[in-house]
Amino acid sequence: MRVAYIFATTGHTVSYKLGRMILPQLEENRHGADVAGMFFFEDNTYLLVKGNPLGERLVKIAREKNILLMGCDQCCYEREIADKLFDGVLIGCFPDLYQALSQAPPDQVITL
Amino acid sequence: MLRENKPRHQAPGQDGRFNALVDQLAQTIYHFHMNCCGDPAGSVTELFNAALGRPHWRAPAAAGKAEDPAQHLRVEIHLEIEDSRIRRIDYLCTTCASLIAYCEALVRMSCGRGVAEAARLGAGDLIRLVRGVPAYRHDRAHLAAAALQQALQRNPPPTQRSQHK
Repeated sequence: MRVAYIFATTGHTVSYKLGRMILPQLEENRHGADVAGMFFFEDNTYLLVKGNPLGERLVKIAREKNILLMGCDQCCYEREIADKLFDGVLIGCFPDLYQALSQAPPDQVITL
Repeated sequence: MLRENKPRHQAPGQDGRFNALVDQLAQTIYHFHMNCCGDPAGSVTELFNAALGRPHWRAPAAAGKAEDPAQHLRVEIHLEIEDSRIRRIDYLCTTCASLIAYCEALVRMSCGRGVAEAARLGAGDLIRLVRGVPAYRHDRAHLAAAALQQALQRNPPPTQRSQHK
């Protein structure tokens, strides 16, 4: 099964659900699903800024497993980080996300 | 009534000067109301919010258009030129934050300028003025600039028009 994650809520989403569950499972090849992409809203976009330790691990595994990483463009612009993201991490909105995922679409989209 | 219903722009002398002043005042009020002549330099969010927060003017038809069908992006420029100057300019574009910011900067850059001066404005100016846009989104600046250039080419100054006759 292929899944895509949308990190829509802030709070403990990225540091806990991604940082302590999804990412370690991906690193250990025991996540149980292929991840097509991850889309980040609001403060979750800070994870994608160069220098973020969790972001570095995520980008590394995303390159290995060909996982799309995309931040909400308006969220990134609002935080003035759009041009400070890791190389290969895109900004965009729903049309960009759908277009990017259309090559190998996920079976499920999971919003966290 | 001050002007005694005389037709505008016809009486020489004092009435002509009065009409010119009225025109100038009307232009000033229009630009104040439309808030279209601000500083073109800014972040995407500043320009995007400014675009959402001001009224927009539409000409009966777009003067220039540019589109990128692959990305479903489109820009229309609405333009009114008088005495070889851009009297009114506005845009209609796809709801992409980067594109809206570039279009807003474009309007601010070209509003009130001479046509020849506006014709020299290009994507490079937009890219320089709008802060924080990643390089792979600079294509939006080229799209906005292309729409303006098409609009200006379709509305050449009167001297150029007469040369084409």
